[in-house]
Amino acid sequence: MRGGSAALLGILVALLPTSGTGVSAHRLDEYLHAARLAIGPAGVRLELSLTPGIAVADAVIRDIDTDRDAVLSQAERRAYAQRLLSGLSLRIDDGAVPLQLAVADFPAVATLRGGDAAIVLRIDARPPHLTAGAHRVSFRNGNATHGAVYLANALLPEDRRIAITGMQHAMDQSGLIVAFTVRP
Amino acid sequence: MHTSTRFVSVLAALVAAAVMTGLAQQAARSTPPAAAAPADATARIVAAAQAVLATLDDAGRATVQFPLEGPQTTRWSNLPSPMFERRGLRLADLTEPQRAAVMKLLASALSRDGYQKVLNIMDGDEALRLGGGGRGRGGPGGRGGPAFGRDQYYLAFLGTPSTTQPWRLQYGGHHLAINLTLGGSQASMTPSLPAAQPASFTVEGRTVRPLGDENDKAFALVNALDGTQRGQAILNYRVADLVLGPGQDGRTIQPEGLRASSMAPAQQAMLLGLIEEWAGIMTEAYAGPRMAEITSNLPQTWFAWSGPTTNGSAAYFRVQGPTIVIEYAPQGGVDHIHTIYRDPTNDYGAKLARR
Repeated sequence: MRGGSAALLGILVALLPTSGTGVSAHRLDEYLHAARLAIGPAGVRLELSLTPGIAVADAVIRDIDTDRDAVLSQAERRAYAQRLLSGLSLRIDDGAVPLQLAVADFPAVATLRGGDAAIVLRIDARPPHLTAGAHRVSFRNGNATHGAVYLANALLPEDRRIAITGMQHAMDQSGLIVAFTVRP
Repeated sequence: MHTSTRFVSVLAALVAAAVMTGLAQQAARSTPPAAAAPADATARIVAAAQAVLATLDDAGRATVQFPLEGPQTTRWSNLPSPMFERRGLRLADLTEPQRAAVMKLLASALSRDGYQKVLNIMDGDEALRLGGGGRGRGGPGGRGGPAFGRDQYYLAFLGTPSTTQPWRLQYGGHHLAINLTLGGSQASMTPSLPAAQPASFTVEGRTVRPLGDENDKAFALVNALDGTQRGQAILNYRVADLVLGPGQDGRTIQPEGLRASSMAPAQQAMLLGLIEEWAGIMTEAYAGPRMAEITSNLPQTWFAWSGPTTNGSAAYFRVQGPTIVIEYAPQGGVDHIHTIYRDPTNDYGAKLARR
């Protein structure tokens, strides 16, 4: 194997971008919050993937790494996850449902700094009793730092007793309302 | 040797090498494989893969070969290297004969249009590089910013190329991921990620739009819908990115938009033509059965749109059915497009492994 020849091909093939594009623009300065709601008979499992772009990654890391030792300790991870949780709300029908953090996966600082790695939180919202009939989940993500952009989707229910009957997104997807039915 | 003479000699050698590469690519472009029976197509792809292996030394074979099941399966991305660390055989590290063998393999595995799409995406990345987009070194251990250009694409074999046992051809780099799983006379090319930046550029005076047909067919379809259909198809919220992009394996979201069962036959045909832009990337022998499967599920297939409906605008769309998910997501404008192509029932050839 040896070195490449792209520069040589450049001599022979005139490739001229028509739009004057230059540097790649892979969400460098945005903090993507992707929420996925899995609705089941026992409640809602919320997965929140948080991907800071490379231009905001250091700011996000500073939010987490409060002692500035370039290591995300368990305590720092837990504290950051709890801060994020406090910015979320989930209601089933007319009642707020407590959010319980089940899993918090954090990449290493160096990986997070690359602009592609995601912090993943898995959160359980279990109402006291989900009766048969029609219900509605209302989710809201109020975390808005570092150029937050949002995706919010309901996963196709795995349990055949659950059927989604309608969805309503906030314009920027920071909120999602899902209407569903539970069969006995 | 005088400096200027040596320079001319070196330049002549470089040009000759580049011409050889160009001829190899051109030969692959101009001699697409004819439609064949699936088993014959697999045999042809396996032979081309073995031809690649035959050009490599032990180190090269070790670099290209991975287990069928393992972390390499999901080691693909829209991002450039080294922002995303790829593994496999990098084109930059190949001799011209090795590179020609790789391109011949791709031409064997893909349809004529699919192969051309891959070349166009790579050419677009070259345009990005020449436009000053990528000055990093790229590749494993690379330093600095992201590296763009035709050299920064990687080939990997997951499993041993075989006409009877499952294995996977993985090829990709910035804005491109092809995951073609073969198992005897069966094949799956999901998940795959054809993307483009710039979305339009010129090569020798000719305008190239790697995803231009995808864009134009989608706008034609949304504009062929009547007011009631548009009311269902057009989402009233912004979609900032792919929902089921890299790292989202195994997830299926609740479909939204307009069901194809509510479309007129001509609109359904337009939808199928749009879908074929992705399903038709793999070689014709496999694209045909794949389109037949998608067509059989067409009544349960949804088309959703977010954004303006005037062609030339940045708009997101999604096609979702029992065996297909396609997303098309402009990244802040019309000149940078990400797409994803999945089969919720058969990503990475899941059904092949069960057979």
